[in-house]
Amino acid sequence: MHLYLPTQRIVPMTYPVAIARKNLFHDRVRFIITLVGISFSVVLILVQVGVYLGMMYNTSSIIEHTDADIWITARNNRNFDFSMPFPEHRENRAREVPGVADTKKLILVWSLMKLAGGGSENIEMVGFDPESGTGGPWEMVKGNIRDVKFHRGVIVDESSVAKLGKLKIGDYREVVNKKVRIVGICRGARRITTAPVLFTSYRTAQALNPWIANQTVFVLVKARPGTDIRALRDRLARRMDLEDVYTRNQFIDATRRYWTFSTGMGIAFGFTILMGIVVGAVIVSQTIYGATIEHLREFGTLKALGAENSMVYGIILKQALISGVLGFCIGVVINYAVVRGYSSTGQVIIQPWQLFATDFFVTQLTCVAASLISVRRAMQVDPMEVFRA
Amino acid sequence: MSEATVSVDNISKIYGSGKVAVAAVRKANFTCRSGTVTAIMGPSGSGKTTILSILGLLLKPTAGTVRVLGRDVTSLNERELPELRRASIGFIFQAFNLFSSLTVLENVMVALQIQKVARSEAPELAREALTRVDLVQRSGFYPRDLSGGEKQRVSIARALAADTPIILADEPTANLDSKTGLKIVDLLYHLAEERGKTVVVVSHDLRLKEHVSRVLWMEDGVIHED
Repeated sequence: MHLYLPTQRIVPMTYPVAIARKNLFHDRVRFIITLVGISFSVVLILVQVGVYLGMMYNTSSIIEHTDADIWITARNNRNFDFSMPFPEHRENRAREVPGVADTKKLILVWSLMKLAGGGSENIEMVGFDPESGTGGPWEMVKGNIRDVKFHRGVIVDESSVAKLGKLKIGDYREVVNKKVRIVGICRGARRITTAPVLFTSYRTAQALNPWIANQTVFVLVKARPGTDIRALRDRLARRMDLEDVYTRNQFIDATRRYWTFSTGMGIAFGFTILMGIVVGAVIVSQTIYGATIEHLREFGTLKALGAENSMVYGIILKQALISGVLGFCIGVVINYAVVRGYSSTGQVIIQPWQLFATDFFVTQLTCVAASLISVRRAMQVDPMEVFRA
Repeated sequence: MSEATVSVDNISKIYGSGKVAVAAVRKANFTCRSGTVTAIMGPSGSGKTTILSILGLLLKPTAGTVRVLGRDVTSLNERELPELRRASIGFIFQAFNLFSSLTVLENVMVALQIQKVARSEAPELAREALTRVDLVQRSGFYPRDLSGGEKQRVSIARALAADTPIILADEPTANLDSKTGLKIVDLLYHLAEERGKTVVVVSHDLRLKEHVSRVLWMEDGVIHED
């Protein structure tokens, strides 16, 4: 038999009495369920959007790090990774257009690299101009970018280790049955395709892949200072009548649009994010509605004592907002752990402050919207309810 | 003679309409004065709670006039009713209706919060009210830690702190043993006598008869003086 002896507690007193906060903390199990639901939703949204933004960054990282104002591609190319080649002499037409300061050719070609232990791996080979470095790696970990000019030198991204095995400067590998020499290790050049990137000189890329001899995949245009880029793009588009011409931002957008909409990736991510919001909203509305029903008599008592409706709504809304803020904070902490784990695998996850601000706003909005169902129920409380035993 | 604070003139309350219409109160007439305890007694289903709800401005009568502190309340709108209720009427409930998540002191302070009493005065007023019902030593307790009688005393302290001229009590002794019940009735009686409150008690507990100023009997919605 247990003897229950209540003891006097020292309870911090606030006035006005924080009914909303006390109601929430009083029923700890319900409150924990609410916080779990909200933080789950927050983590889901932050991570999914972060991964999506990381992937989008990967789609356009080479374009963004290339010092070119305008990109010329074969007709009907819709993205960077699957562009078709076109005759390289077409570069001369672009050079003649007023406002063009300089042009460079850039190759992007899919190829096969033999692995040290046998087998092979698909790679994306980028052939750039080693003199200017335009289109080449932007962050070198080891080696010199210009070394690609000699002995079929190639630079690999450090993230390629998982697929190509550990590589160091001076190692030899075969690309399409021809030996290449590792001359550098770079960082940050990941592709959404997950294929490792190999940078080499424009000429080496053509030599290793003879089916693109005398062809280029992109012509990169640098405008003269002060030139209106859009006007220059229009002039180039008229001149390059067999190719497509994009400003840098247009090409980034086109590439991202392709990966978002043409591959179904956007729908998949959008659906998961929507699920996060829905799950959060359902859990919050369930728990807040449950708490409202449980306290319905108390709300009726408040009204009987002369409380205005706004006081009752205020309590319910405050409960939702306290849950929303705490759930968000917990979610951010969990997100931090998830991001650390995810990044340690070498994947890119991008979470700008605007994402946090938007998610905070969405979370609070969801909580408030979910609580409106409870407000509606509290409005309908029968005044006679307070007299029921 | 003391002042009439509540007067009911020919009121009726009918629930539903047509064939399913039920008259809960039929042409009731009575007056309650300050400094008195009026008990409305009768069997379950006689309409006692309906009439208490009408007096508490929680329910509008179908016909007739109710005056509270001389003001006709039947024509007041949804914004004016809470204002008048806040200023004039305190409630004591059969089921106590305390906030389970709040301490005894906070439960009393909620009534003051509703009345928009200043931060500097509210805690002291609440403690005073708890002292009057001999519960100040339990200010930090939660309702779950109190006995039925103590809960009812907190409910009375809540009504006391609000200092409204009218106190309506719904079956205040129903959930209590006879000894505790009589203590609660005595407390209400002293409230009326010492502080000039108008106390209206609804009950079917016949023991109350001896401890109130006046008894109104109610049966099938009809009220008559004892």
